[in-house]
Amino acid sequence: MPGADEGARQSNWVFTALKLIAAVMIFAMAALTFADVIGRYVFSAPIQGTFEIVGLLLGVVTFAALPLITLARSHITVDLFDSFIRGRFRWIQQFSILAGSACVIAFIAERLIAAGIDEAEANFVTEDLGLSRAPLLYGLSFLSMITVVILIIMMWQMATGRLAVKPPDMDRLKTDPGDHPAH
Amino acid sequence: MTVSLIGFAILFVIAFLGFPLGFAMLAVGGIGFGILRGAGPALEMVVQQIMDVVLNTNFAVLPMFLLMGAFVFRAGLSDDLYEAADAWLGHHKGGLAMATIAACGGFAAVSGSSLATVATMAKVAIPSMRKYKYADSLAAGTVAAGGTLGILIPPSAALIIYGILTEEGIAELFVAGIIPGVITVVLYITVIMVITAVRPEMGPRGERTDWAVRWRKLYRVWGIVLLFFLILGGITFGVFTPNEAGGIGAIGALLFAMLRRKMTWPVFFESLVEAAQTTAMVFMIAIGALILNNFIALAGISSGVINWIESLHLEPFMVLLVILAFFVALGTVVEGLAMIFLTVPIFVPVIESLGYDLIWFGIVLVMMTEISLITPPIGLNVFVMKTMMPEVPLNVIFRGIGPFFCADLVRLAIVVAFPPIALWLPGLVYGHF
Repeated sequence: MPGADEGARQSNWVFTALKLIAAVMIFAMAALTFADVIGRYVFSAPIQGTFEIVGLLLGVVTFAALPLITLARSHITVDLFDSFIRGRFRWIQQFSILAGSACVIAFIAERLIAAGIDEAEANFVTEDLGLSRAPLLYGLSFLSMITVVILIIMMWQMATGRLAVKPPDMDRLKTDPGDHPAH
Repeated sequence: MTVSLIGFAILFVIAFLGFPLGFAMLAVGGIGFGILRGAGPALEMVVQQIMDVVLNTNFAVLPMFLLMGAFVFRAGLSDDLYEAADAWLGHHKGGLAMATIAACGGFAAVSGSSLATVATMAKVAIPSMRKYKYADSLAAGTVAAGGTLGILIPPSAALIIYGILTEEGIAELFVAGIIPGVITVVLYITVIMVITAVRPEMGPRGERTDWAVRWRKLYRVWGIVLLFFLILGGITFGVFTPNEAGGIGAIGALLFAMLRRKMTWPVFFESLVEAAQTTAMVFMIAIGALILNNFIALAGISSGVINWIESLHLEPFMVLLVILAFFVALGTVVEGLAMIFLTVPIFVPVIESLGYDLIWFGIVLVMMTEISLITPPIGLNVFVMKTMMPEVPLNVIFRGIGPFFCADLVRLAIVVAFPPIALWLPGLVYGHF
């Protein structure tokens, strides 16, 4: 869940598109699984390839949501000492987190492209439906690259003072208790 | 060994400084693996782990249950659940507190979020307990402790994550959680009965509700109760896989919310996006933790620990007790899921080498996670409670939690001393324990 202060900036069309992709894919996953079970037990006609498609959709859901949680700065952290880091140090901490995250996600993007190339060269196809996963892997890599671009923009905004330093989670919890969905 | 120790030192420093846990684990695990085995194999290993998580159908169970939770949360179920529980239990001594535990258990089980449960149930239950002049400590303690119920009662996100990290069956883990979950509810209600027997003024009786009204209130929540039993029963008897149960749960909860006329397009969209975002958050850490796992296995950290423990010639049970004590200590400062991600890579191989069952340990670990949410100085549930009741001092809330914390320790002791409590049911169904 994005923090309230981040809400306004998410109105951008890129984020709307990403949300739409994530929403459609996750719903497709649930609906397909549901239809498969109903098909199997009620009509003795399961939907072929459900298992495989759900796995592929899962990848899209994860990577379409990655830019969103990155923008909201809601990656899971161990906030043990977080509330003690204030002032100037907090700015340095936040900036380093953005820079480090950008490096890690850029690395993930590179890895996904490499995997796509490998699979394409080996003519690898999925077991049940015979699909090539390479285009999907390129797509996931593209979504990671969008995330890296967002992180770079956020670093720029921090450097120019247009992006506020994120307060410690403990402070945020006081205003929005629902802000820790993963627990 | 030196590389691994340096790696760990770096990991803990950057994680504690607030760096996203998943990325920290990915960086340390990937670089460490590269130093030990060379860059090529490390690059290969990293991409393999990423694809093993994000393209793995078995892990789709997480987003689907998260979706179910998001729909249930928005269906405005909390009031009805509480009213139903209140109608049946409210007239007993401490009855409103018992009703709170029952409603928390029901809500948490389907919503899967401990903090959301505390925040939601506090709004419903606290005013009602105040009206009947319940002691603040009992009221706050009940809601904060009740909120932890959902972590264990299946479908549980914590158990799914443990299953992802250890490659143990998610269905077995769910089934193993049922009896310990029921024991928790029983123990919590016992705590309330004891407290109100000793000091009746802390939890006065509410009004008696007549039978027609009781059934009518129960009827209002039948849909979700049915869904819960359908999912649990389906998994237990092997009618559906956890994934399929997740699909049924998500679509069932959507229909339930639509029937209650709580579902609008914006709410629907918001629920979908929220579930997708939480999935991404969890998977990023899962990827990092699995990459770190590979490094740990290669660096021989766990085998080092195992050798060291063997050299001490301790009984396995003593080692287990030391590990559990460590978990309680860790739980005072590290919360919830982070605890699972941080400890599984190191401790699970040790537990396995001691000869303990990993399904059983999953249940134990999740119970430790529940306890971590209510132990001072940092207990997330307690902080949420505090925001809901700002006028009540923090120490009163912690005092109220005390008896429930003791009940948690009793339950932990029971499950540790008698592993069949967790393993009997999955053994009966899946038969390999």
